[in-house]
Amino acid sequence: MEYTNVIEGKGINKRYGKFVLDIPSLEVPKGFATALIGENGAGKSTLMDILTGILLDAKGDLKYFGEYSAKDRENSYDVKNRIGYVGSKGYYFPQWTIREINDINKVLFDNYSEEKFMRLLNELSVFPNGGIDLKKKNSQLSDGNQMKTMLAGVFARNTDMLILDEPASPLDPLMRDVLCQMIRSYVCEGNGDKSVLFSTHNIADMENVTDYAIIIENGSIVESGFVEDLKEKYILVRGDAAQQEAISQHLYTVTASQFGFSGIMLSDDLDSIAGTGVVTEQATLSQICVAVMRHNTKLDYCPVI
Amino acid sequence: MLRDIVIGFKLIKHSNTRKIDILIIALFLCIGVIVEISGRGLNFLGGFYIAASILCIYEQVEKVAVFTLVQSSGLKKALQTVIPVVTSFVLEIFLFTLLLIERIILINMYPENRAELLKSLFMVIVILLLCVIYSTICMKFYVVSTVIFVFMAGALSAIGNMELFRNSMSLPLLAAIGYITIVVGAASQYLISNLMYKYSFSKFVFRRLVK
Repeated sequence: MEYTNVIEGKGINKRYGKFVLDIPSLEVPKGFATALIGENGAGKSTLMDILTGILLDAKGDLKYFGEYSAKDRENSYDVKNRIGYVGSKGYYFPQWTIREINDINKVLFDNYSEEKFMRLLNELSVFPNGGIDLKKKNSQLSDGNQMKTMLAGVFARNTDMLILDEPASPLDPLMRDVLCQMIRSYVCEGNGDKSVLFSTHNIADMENVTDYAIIIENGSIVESGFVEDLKEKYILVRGDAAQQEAISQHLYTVTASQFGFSGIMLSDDLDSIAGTGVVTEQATLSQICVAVMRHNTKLDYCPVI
Repeated sequence: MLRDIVIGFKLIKHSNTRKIDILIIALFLCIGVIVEISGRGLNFLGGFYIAASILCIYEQVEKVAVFTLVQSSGLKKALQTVIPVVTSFVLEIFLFTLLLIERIILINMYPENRAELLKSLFMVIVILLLCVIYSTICMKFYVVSTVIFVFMAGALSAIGNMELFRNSMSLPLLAAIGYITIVVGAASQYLISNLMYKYSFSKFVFRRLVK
């Protein structure tokens, strides 16, 4: 597949005490929805903060839209105007009212539509009884409604890229589905020019909107690629205990129970297990991500047999 | 740049701590003016409180920049560099000119206090310089810069070479020193704010605002 990158990074490095984010090479393809996946503390938010220019003391080179450097991003309005960002911590003042949030977005961003913001607040049911309470403070909204308000703010702008840090976490399953539709519509209406990078723990819920996945563990990218390619690279196998023993050296990760096992292995190794009688299936992105994360995690609790 | 400044001031009204800050600014200004009038310009504390009110106004601008929505916008750099520098520069020039006019009047009324009046004005100049440097650093390194600022402000009382003010210092010379210090202070402030730009906001400041 031929594609260009909306963001490219080289030698990204940021140290926080003992934690080190070290990414020799980063590519976020243009015109797609990219999921940044990793366990807690893997470095997802740090990476997003670096990409949006919230963290500036990281090392490395960044290129936006194929032409702008990180310096350009800070010195001109062009790059940041084209990127919409939603973060989880300290995004809005807790005391800001809906009216103030609207006013501030209007002041900060030329490409912001007040009418679209209000419409999105309605469509996302931020106020369950209908209507919009302009005097309602951000701190008086539930976590989910705070996220919806942030999303309404960023989707009300005319941007070329969205960087969304854990947008699905505080949302209920129905709203996660709506979020997936919003992301898909955004990417589609861009005709290859609009891109989304979002981080998530809810891989299963966000799978249907993910085109490209970047899996990050312990501050490093351990896997990345288009979902279709990843699904060709990894395969799910199932079998009984005897079969598991026969193929265990080829398994990337495995989960066993009294009824048998299921595991992920590399498709390239399929020839090696021919004749063992195990069942193979296409793995879901969620299964692949969990396998890759488990393979690379530093968690002590890791039920590998 | 003018557009950035206008936007910056539009944002100030949305600052989280604006009400308490306005109260503090008003309080500092009142104390400063009262001390100046009651002390007939002899007490540098009047100038100290007036300079401190400028510091609070400067902080108002930077506080808005703490939030990640604002940090993700194109205005981030201007809010941490150009806007606060221009704001405090204009205010300092204005307030220093007022204090200078006050000194001219007081020297004419009480010529016997000339040396003390020049000395207290000189101390105000030093305080203004300290304030602008401190205000540039405190949003990024709050605790360290505050400790240093308090220590240096305390050391101000060491400025006491009255002979200098009695003999060789004239009001026009001191006025020139004052204006040059404000210009140099603003230039230093701009330089330091650009150097500090890459550092994240002090966690202390962030927690205080986000609570």
